[in-house]
Amino acid sequence: MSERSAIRVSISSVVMPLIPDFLEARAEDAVRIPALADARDYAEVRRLGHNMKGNGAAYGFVFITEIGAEIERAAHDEDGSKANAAAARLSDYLTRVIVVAVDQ
Amino acid sequence: MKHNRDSQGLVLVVDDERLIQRIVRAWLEDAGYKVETFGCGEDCLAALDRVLPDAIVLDLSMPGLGGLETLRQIKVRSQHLPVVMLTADLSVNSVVSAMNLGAYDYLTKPIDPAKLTTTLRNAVQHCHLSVKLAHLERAAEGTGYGLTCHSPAMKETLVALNRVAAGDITVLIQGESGAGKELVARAIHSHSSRRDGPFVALNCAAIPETLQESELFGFEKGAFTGAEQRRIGRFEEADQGTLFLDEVGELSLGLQAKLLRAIQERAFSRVGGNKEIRSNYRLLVATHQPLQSLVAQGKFREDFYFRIAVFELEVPPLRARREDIAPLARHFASEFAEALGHAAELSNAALEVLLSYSWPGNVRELKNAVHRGLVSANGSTVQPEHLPPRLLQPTSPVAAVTESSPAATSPSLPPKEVPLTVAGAEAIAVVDKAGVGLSMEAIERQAILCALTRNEGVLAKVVKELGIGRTTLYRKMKKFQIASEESGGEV
Repeated sequence: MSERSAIRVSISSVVMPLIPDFLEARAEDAVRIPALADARDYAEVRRLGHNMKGNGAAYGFVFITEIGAEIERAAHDEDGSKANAAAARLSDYLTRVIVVAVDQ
Repeated sequence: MKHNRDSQGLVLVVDDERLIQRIVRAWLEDAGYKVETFGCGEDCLAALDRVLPDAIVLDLSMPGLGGLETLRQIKVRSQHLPVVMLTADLSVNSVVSAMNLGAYDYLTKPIDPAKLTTTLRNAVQHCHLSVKLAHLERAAEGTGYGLTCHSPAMKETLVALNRVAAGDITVLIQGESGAGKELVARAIHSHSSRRDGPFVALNCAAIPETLQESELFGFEKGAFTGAEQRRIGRFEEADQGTLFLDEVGELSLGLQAKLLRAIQERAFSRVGGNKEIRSNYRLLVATHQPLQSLVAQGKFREDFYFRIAVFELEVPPLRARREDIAPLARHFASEFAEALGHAAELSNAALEVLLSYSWPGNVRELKNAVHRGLVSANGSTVQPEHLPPRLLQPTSPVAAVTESSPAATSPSLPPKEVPLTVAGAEAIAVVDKAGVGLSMEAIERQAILCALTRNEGVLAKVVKELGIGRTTLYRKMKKFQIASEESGGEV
């Protein structure tokens, strides 16, 4: 990962201890979503997208909320290719994101 | 009781998403709240049997009971408890339904931490103000919950009662015999969501040990000699209402084990029967005994103690609530006057006698003394001579006090404190050496000093003996400039 492509996200030091687990779980989601879409398990894809939408910004990652909304919408439309594309963007984001703790 | 006044309050967070639970916990703990998290409404409702939260954060969309039904059941149990709903979608009608059901506010996901903490702060303040207002309304009447409460000690009990009445939490009511523990239990019942259900009371000390089990759980026909027909027990009788077990310290260890199971699982069998019976009751228990000491002596099961001592409520002895003596006496006088069919008035002299007595038998003894006075006075104003002679004896428990040797004083007491020894076990001076009456504060100060000395400075024992809360004791010790070792010499 080059420094130029890094995405810096400032996170409250209050929730910093929760971040590693949160990002790890999203990376697992990014892997699961294409497999679920292939299996046409759109209910589960929708649930994952819905949760991302609800949690992302709460943890400080607005992008994850936005991508979660996209995944939820794609699952609702049963559009596997859109869901896969969104999962790929999530995966890319997760490899580039750098978290910076800030005191509130 | 898991309620910490040092924190901003206790908040229950209910959401089936662990990520939401974790982040909300992190924010709220950072804001100074104590937090308990639950994955479903059922677990939250079960927790309300053991904790008194200041607010609940509740997800609207959850499997199982769901947010709306959970909210409805919370409101049935505790109307004033503020519930902040979490929702992922503002457009749903459920938000309107939630507000109609009494939700305090709602927050949309993703949750904004600043909005969450501000809303919670307002909600907790709202909760405290509601409870305080209800308390003040009752205290202004001087007869909150049907209890006479002009004294600070009783007002403190009323505040605790006010807080605990609405919920479904198990309460251990402690106080001396005759102090009014059953009245307090009835007050809790009549101000709970179970007020329309039965109030079933059982004095465990009045039932022989061999009959306690069948009395509590009932029995099947033929269970034992004389069991000619099935009879339901107090647990079944109390279904949808309140079960009050008085003098719970008198229960045998074996029965405590059976009760523990019945209380934990809300299920039991009648004596001589195998069928599991369920009953939905609120449990209130009372005792005049120091249960923790009984636990230490192996006479009371520790697990049973912790199961019943979820919230401990002290009913102060009458000697610790002297401001209530005259109003109580007048209340009893008018009550008996009606029954006796003649007017009843207490003379000032008779009231003076009542006020100067120590009332070891508490309110019950006062009631009986007033009754006797009214009967003796036979329609005329009650005078001292109409009262029981023991009230007039100069050696009554509030008699003489002498100064002690310095050795009798707690070593932690500062030199300026006058060391006191009591002439009798409970003796405290009400007059000085010149025979001039002491102020109530001076008497209170003596009572605390004596209790500290008698209990070697152990504050837990002192509060138990004096029948006041620890906060009150600290406040009074500070006021009277009394130091103790246990409080590190600082009060």
